[in-house]
Amino acid sequence: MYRYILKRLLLMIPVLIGVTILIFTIMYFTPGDPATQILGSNATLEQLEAKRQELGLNDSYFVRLGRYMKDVFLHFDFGNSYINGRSVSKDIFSRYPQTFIIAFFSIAFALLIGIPLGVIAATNQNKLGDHVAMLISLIGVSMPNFWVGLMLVIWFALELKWLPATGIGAPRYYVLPCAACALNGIASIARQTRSGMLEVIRADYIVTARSKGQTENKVIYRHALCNALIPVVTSAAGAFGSLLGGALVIETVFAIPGLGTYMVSAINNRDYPAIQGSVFFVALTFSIIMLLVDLLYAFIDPRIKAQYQGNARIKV
Amino acid sequence: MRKTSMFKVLSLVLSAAVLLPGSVFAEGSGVNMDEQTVRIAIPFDPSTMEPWATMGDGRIDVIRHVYEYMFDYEKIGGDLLPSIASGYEQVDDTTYRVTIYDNIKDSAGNPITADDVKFSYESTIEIGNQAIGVNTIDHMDVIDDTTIDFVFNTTAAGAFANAMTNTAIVDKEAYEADPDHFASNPVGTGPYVMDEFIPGSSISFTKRDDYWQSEEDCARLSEANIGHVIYKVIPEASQLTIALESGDVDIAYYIASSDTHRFEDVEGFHLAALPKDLAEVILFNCDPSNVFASKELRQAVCYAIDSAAVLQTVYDGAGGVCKTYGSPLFADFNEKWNEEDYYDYDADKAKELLAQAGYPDGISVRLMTDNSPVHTRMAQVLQSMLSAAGINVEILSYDGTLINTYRFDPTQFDLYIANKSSFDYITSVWKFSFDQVAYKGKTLNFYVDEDLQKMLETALDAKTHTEENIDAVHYALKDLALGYGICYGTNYIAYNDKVSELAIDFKTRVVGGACIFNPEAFE
Repeated sequence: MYRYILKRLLLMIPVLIGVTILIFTIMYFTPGDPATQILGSNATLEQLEAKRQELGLNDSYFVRLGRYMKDVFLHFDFGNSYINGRSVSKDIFSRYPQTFIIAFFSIAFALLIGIPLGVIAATNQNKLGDHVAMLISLIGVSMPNFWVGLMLVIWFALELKWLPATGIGAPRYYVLPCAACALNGIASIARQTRSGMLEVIRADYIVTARSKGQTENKVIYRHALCNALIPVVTSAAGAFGSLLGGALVIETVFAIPGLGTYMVSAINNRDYPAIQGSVFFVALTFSIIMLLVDLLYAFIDPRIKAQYQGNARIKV
Repeated sequence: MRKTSMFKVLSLVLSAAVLLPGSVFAEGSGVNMDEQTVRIAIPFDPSTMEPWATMGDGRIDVIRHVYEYMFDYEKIGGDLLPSIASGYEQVDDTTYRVTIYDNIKDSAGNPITADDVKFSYESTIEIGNQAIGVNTIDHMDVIDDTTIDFVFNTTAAGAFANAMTNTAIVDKEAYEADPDHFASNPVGTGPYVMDEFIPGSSISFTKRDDYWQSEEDCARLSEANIGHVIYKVIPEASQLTIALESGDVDIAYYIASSDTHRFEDVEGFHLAALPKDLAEVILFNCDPSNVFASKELRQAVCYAIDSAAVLQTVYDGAGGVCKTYGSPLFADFNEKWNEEDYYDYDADKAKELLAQAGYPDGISVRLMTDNSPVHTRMAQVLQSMLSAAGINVEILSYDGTLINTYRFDPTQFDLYIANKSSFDYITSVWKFSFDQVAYKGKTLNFYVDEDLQKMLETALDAKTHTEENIDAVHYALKDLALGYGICYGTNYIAYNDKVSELAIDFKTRVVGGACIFNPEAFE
């Protein structure tokens, strides 16, 4: 198992080098001059040329790439933002906690509601419970989260004055953004749980469990649900990884300084160090989450754990 | 039964989130929420507090609390009011002797001398982010601790005033000692100190106890009329409005015109409407290879645009129609132009000119625009108007950076939407588009005309900045139709009863701490 983890960690190195080269190359060929954004629309050609020279934008692709790779992989330095002059690493780390809180609680909230909804739907297939659960999930999927966010604000912040409409700080600031962000997740997790449950609920081992006289709850939650969870975990992990890359709409609506708004602003301004640093960070986070998910599979499904251990033994 | 349990769990999670003490998560603003705090909502992030960084909207909104300039403009292109400087005299055509107060101290207690002033200007020039305001300075000579000579490389009107109102003055040693260059912990001479800056979220200031200036000599915008000022960044327009309605903030900038009814004549709220100095214009691609090398075609487009209808569609009618290439708020705008024809909408004339240009059956052109909501709407309106005149418009929508890049490439567009302004005069607005020296022998839109350049240079020079010469450029630009001023909008600022008078600088931004407050509303 440890060997498997080490192998996966080592594999992350070429992935990150590849991502760094790829994003650098994409930005190199993306039209748009950062100097014009820094100096504004009234700058003269001479001033723009001086700024480009200062930023090293006139150097060749290989010189710039080499310089950047050296800074990132030898000094772990993503450089300073063209726009605000601050260290990109500092900026990312100051925004990451907000993004993490939203991503974590949104997914937790979605799992907490989505899985029971899916189970209710599957165990009551084609009955009232199924229709109600699927209707709720259909509504959840259909409503755009920026609209839900604004509705929540009008009701809970403006009318009832229970919760703040915007900003960051105490936990209550995160309740509305997380609720708005979780809604789509609830819907998709409920549908996936239902579909997974319907597949396993007719399996032989479930019939065996029932014939052994186990209670229905035990059959559903211990035998069926565990086996139906693999695709749900995969989907939730993917959603979690995407949210860690920034929930742009939610961050904008609730004025939360997260990674999503940072990246979009950087892209709009052609702030190369900020874009490259953010993408690197998102790739790193995503790789780690995928590793954790693979390990989680082993805990959910003993067959997978046996596979990991078996592979390790073969290698030895 | 299962459902009941689920709701219990949910209620518990929600209640825990609401009731958990703030110490678990750091409080965002970080200042005491006492009654003497004014909270202001702005849509743009100040981004950095570095004194000489690029001046984005968010920075302009907040920076005046911490940093001061040599002078403040009374209004755009108006008189200079003392701030760091106590006065000036013009020594010759290009030299100005400026005297600063002898008791200036920044928030760290460092005295500010003429050497610091020189350092601040040299740094601004070297960094280059605010080159427009200071690139006219040739050199500076420090005479003594409180006197400095500024020698300019031009006699352009507004060169001195521009330079004096755009560079923050800081202490040299303090700046050099900070590896962050004041980006996160600024030290300035302003009446407030920054408490906390959370990029993208909020920035808070506290009144200085040791502000250097006496009450009688204090510049209006340097007044500190409240203990704490907090700016909250709220980019979403409807949330900005909700923040004011719910009492989360006391002042909100850039209220959408569609939301003004929520504050206009509503008890407890007030609405200020400030005309923008930023004009919405179109620029034609006058490169000889482009269809708009034809003056008749350019004029046809100008006549086909109903500026009043554009204003109505884009700004809900709040603002005004341009009567030259720029807004009328500048000091050297000639009021008589308001009474004259400026390509007033005439569809028949447009068709006639289109035929004269050699396109009696119409023509297809590419209109480049940035993807901001205002310009996107404007492009659609123009597309419809020009179509009625027989000009088929293909809209090319790009982000702001791409527009700023493509506008230098004559193969990318036929005409484009832009907004234009300046710090001082309408002649400067013209200069930023049509000065052929700035763009390697052509105007910004690739037109070459020596006579126009001479006229522009004459009007820009302080000695010949006369009504007659300004008129000459206005009429030449009008006749050539290299660009066309369409309209300008209005900034709405809404505020509650805590504020009795807004303090507004020449860039039409509210200086939060300098507003006059209503003490009763804080009780």
